[in-house]
Amino acid sequence: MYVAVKGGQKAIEAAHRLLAETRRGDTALPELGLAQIRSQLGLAVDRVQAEGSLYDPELAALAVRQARGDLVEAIFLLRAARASLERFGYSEPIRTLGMRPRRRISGTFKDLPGGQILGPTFDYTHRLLGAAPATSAQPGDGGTGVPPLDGTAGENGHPGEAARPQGQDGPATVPGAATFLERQGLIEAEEDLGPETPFDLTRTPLEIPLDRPGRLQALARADEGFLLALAYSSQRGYGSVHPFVADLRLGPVEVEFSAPELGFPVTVGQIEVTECQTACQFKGGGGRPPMFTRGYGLTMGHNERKALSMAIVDRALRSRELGEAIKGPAQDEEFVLYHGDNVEASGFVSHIKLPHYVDFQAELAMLRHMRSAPGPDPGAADTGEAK
Amino acid sequence: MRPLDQARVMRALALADRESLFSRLEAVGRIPDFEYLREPQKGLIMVRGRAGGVGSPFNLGEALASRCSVSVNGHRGHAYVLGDDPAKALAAAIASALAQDPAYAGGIAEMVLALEGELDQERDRERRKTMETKVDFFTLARGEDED
Repeated sequence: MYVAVKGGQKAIEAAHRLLAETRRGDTALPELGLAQIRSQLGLAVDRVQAEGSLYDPELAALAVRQARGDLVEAIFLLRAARASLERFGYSEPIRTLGMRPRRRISGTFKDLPGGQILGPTFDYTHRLLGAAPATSAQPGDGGTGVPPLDGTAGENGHPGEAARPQGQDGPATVPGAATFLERQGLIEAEEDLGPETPFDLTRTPLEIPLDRPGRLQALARADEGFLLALAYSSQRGYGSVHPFVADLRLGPVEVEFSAPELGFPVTVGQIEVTECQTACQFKGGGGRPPMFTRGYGLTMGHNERKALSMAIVDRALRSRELGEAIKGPAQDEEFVLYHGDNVEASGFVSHIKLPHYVDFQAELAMLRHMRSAPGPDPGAADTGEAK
Repeated sequence: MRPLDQARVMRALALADRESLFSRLEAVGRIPDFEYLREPQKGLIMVRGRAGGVGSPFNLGEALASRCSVSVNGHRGHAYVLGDDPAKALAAAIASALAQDPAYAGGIAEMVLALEGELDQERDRERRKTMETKVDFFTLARGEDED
């Protein structure tokens, strides 16, 4: 077997060179710059940051380029990069209510304080593929075909709202939609139940059952497609979560960090996050009256589909706590948490591409042995076998 | 000008546009010799969120950060800034140290106010654009109320 490995070295080197050449593509064309990827393929960069579980648009853009646009490969690259870095510590919990939203919508209240702010959304676009905007580019529109927003149109008239943001808690922020339901006792209160030092998946191996903070960490870095499918299955009846979107918001939040040499929290920068709060029916039980219950989704970067799916799956995974019957995969903690990480999943699925010559020879030998051994012939009844 | 609260200074430095920070720090005056207490270094800060935005804390994911500590004229300056930017971490650490030096505190305070002003302006621009996409559902509600 080692003969094959030795012989493989030259081929592997050549494959790497060919990969590099293929990645680069037509050298008559300029290479994509990281700034271009960051600014024009921002959602690819954001997905890689969220699932790579490392916020740095520059590194994520580099990963997207190196992976030739294969986002799961890029996520793997980012995870590997983070593994080589020292951990300074843990931030203070970010205050998403203090977000200056670039987008904020609610599916539950049409006229809630703060209003419905569409922001840069694909919603309400016609999904007509084509170069129409680019061909109708006008001078000064940056090639988009639409006149740029200059902010001069102002807001849609809400007197009494100051125009200038005044820090994190100023009028540039909007209150949470769930707050109003909570005041009336119609939705469960969200309380800090601890622990003060939450479970950290990057330090402690996953163990079932996991508390909600641990689950939320796993979901925040889980594969978007996996969570989307689970959320969809739950909505369709494999489970019982078909919630309302109470509050969906996107925007920058400041990150505060209390360094040991300082002893007090200081803002170290800001990151963009997507947050989704859902309200889900609950018929009551375990001493609780009927009320709406909550699901929560939070991702680094702009990942709306992921945040929404995460909120649905978070709520589905609370079934045990709420005394609901476990009827679907989305409610199965072990199933969800052990299979949602796309680095682990693609690693395990893909490893069967690598040489398994010895294993296969062993199985082949066993198969031959079974077929030559005396006793009932397991294939005798199988008359449909193709020859 | 009165010296500013250290957390406020450090926030303004961390959120500042790097080029603006460099040029404004140069404009404060000649930077005295400094000693590294810790050379610029990159690492990770695990960012925490809260369930439901206000509930139990959980670990959301890590953010790349740079840090640096210096001593200038006997004053210690520390800096933590997001991103891989050793030069910005160094500039922020120096400014943070100078903020405690009576000879420089006034200049640094002015710089901090200017950086905060730039940040507010930038956020204001963003907000105005965003608010153009605000849906006016309120008109419908008012119409119904009149019935």
